[in-house]
Amino acid sequence: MKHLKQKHNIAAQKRQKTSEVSEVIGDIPDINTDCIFDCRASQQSCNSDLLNESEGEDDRDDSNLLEESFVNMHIQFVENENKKEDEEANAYVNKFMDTDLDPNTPGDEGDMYDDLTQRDQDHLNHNTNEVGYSYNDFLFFDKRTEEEKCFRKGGSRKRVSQNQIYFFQKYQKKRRKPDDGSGGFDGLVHRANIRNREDTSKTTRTLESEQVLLMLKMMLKMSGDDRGDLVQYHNNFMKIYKVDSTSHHDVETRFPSDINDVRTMIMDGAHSIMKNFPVQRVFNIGNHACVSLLETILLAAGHGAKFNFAYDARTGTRNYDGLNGTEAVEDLMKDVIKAMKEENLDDETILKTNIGWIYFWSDSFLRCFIKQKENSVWVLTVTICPPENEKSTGNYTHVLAMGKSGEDHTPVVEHFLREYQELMKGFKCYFGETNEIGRMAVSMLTWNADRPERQGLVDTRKEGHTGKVSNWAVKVSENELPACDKCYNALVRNIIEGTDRSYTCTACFNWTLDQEAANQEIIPVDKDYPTRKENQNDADEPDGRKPGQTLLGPVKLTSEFMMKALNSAYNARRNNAWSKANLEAYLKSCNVKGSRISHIERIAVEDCINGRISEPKEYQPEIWSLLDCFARFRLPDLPMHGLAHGIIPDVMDILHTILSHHKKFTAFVAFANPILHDVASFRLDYVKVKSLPKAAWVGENSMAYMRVFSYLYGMFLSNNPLCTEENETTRETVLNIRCMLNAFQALISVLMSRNPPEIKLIDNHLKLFLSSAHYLHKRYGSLGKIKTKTQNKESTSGVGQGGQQTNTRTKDFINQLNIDNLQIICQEFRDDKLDGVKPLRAFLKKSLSTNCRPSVFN
Amino acid sequence: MKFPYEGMLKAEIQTKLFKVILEGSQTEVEVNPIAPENEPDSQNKKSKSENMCWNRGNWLSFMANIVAQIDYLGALHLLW
Repeated sequence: MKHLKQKHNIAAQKRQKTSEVSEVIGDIPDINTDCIFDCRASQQSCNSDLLNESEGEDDRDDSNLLEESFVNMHIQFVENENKKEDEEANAYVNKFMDTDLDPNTPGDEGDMYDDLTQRDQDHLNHNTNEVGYSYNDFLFFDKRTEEEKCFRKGGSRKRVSQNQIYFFQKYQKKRRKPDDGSGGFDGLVHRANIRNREDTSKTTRTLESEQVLLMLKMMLKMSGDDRGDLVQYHNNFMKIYKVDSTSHHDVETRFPSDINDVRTMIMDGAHSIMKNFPVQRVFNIGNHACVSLLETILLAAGHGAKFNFAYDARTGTRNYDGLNGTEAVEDLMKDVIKAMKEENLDDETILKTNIGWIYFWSDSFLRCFIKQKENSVWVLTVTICPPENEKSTGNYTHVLAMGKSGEDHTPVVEHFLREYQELMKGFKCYFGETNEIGRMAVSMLTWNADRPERQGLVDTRKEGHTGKVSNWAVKVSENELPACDKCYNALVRNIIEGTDRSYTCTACFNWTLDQEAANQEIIPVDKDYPTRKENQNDADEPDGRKPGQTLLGPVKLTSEFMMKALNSAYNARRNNAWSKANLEAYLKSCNVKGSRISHIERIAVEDCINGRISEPKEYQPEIWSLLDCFARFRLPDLPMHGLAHGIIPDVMDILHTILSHHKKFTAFVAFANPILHDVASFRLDYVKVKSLPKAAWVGENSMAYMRVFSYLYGMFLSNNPLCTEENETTRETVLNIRCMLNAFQALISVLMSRNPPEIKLIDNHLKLFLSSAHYLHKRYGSLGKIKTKTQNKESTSGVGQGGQQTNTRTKDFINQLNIDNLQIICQEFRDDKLDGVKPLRAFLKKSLSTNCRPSVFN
Repeated sequence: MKFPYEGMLKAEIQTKLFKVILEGSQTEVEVNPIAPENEPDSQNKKSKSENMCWNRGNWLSFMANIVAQIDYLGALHLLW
């Protein structure tokens, strides 16, 4: 374990530089993840407006795009950047184009070491009678094809598996010295040093291999010229101390003396360390560079990872640490045991199998902030049951696949879903930590992703009406969903008094979606929603989405529901019972993605013409049949995306909108920043705040800001009136802000608590926050109202065009008014049936020109 | 007498005001704005005007799922 991290770094470097990867994903010079995440946060902040304005039924994801006008303005800059970046990328790619770091690629050793090789490998086959494991026991590390194992095509003499020998030598040394896990690297250095990667007879002494490891670490961070300087620096010391003239028979390792030695021994040569360091094989799925999940786990375990198994077979105990203590892992263990039983494994073998969980993470990110469309990269990682205290170290997270974000990732996703299901049956594994070969089985706990990524994975709609709520098919009613006054009061009482007085309200949904509640079926169907046919068999369609319904309610998605919806839609369309519009309206109401609807439409029409019937697998996403991806929160809502990049910035926007409206935002920033700087100066790892205004914030910056949320806004509003001439309206606004802020801070506290309170309390806090936001919005007016593209164009075109500009200002003014004030305006002018348009217009103009709120509001 | 715009969404009143003030149209306001709750047209209008600050994906997803998720999958800090 001593060098685990360093070795992982080497493996990561090696993977990054593998030419196959470069070929598959294109020209990716270097990925600075810090920068990526900063950019991403910034981009998310910049584009939250665009994300919101695209909330039509269009399910394209615009979240990664900047405003068109921004790009146009910077077109020259963009082109220059593109050119420069292309040059850099090409130079980088050329550098590695001829470099092959796959240890399975044949080298020149075949002819040079014919006799020597055979002799040096014999010992591997002669130690089978020794105590302990033999070389062959490590055969599961060898993932080469039969052809790759031979020196020559059709020959019988076999090459050593570099992965297998590495871990066998590690095992051998660790058996002699239990605290020394460097045996594998010692052997690698020896083979590189004598320039024969087939020689497995010896290993270098640890002190010397440690020196080589240090040199390797430095060289991996250097350019070619710098590497030459380092070697020269080393040589000069030898001369200065005159150690080069002294004979050192006890030193076996010949350290590189020039840049050629560096290449052949360390970086590029057939026998070099980099070439033969154990890594996974890279393969291509749909233009994605992928590595095997099994191999990844085997190598991590071999390097000494201390997996935090839910069931530890060595001790025979169940572990309840962290996620292991959840109901989800309990169910996962049952699934794994079931899978092993289905493989007819005996009880003893099952008992001797460690059971762990993995979670996947996938997302697109930008490698260049400016060239957004072409440069977005998609990455899939896996995290293998890390110990709680090492979760954030990254040692247990590995990249599984990488490709351009524009490619279709479905085959990759399906490949890894199938692979993890195979791994549920268990597999043999060498555990470097305990120096034992044992069995382990893993299953997927969650697939972590942000909302657009999740929607893409399971083929549901994006930020339109029906796709807005994860795992639900529902159009939200803004009238009925919020708690009514009675429910709100009851909620407040329950929280204050710690009681649980619940009753069934018929006036509202009280922030609850319930597919069983008949009173929630209130959303009228689309005009093209299919009507009920005579002799229609209702069993074909899923509950909640039957043709002929006039009102729709919320439906919790399940794979069964989705597959039934697709099957019935396909059949109806194929039989010409439904029109294209019927099909679209129906599947939209089931939260099926637009491209999937088009796919079904095409297949159904073709089948209708050709008189054939397609199998469901031809028009259904495979992920729905591979696992019930909607169940068990397999695609959970995550705090980093949902809170840190979602609700927290939204609440900030709401508050800043109000402050800006009252021209207090600048004053607030001036007030808040010194405090934020002071807090940041403490360098507390749990309060990494950045200054306002919000730009390039990552998740932890938002969470840190959240910790001082109430204080900042509370103190500011306590000492600064919202309006110079305070009135009832502003006092009420401040009161509503206070309610929302406190409710929000309390909500985040209970959500992120290490020991969450009882579920009912979390639910109450969630409803309290939503209600407080609802009442603030209702009383104040347009909050977070984002200008649409059309409005933006209107605003721009209105500049300098008197009437248009006034109209825009009038619109803006009306937008700012809350519902009560709008009603007052209508009331004021209703006597003349708004024949008083002119007086009304004059009234508004006056209000606009004096730039103050009309007297009716005071 | 009942206020004619009572029960209407803010966005609907705004739309009427825009039309009246900016376009000079009077026909819109002469129509009785109070429609029965279950009338499809009225509901269609409501579903189109999704303006509330809480009517966003993350807010609604948390509202609908997070309590049951925490109950099943454990505290949020375990996932991040």
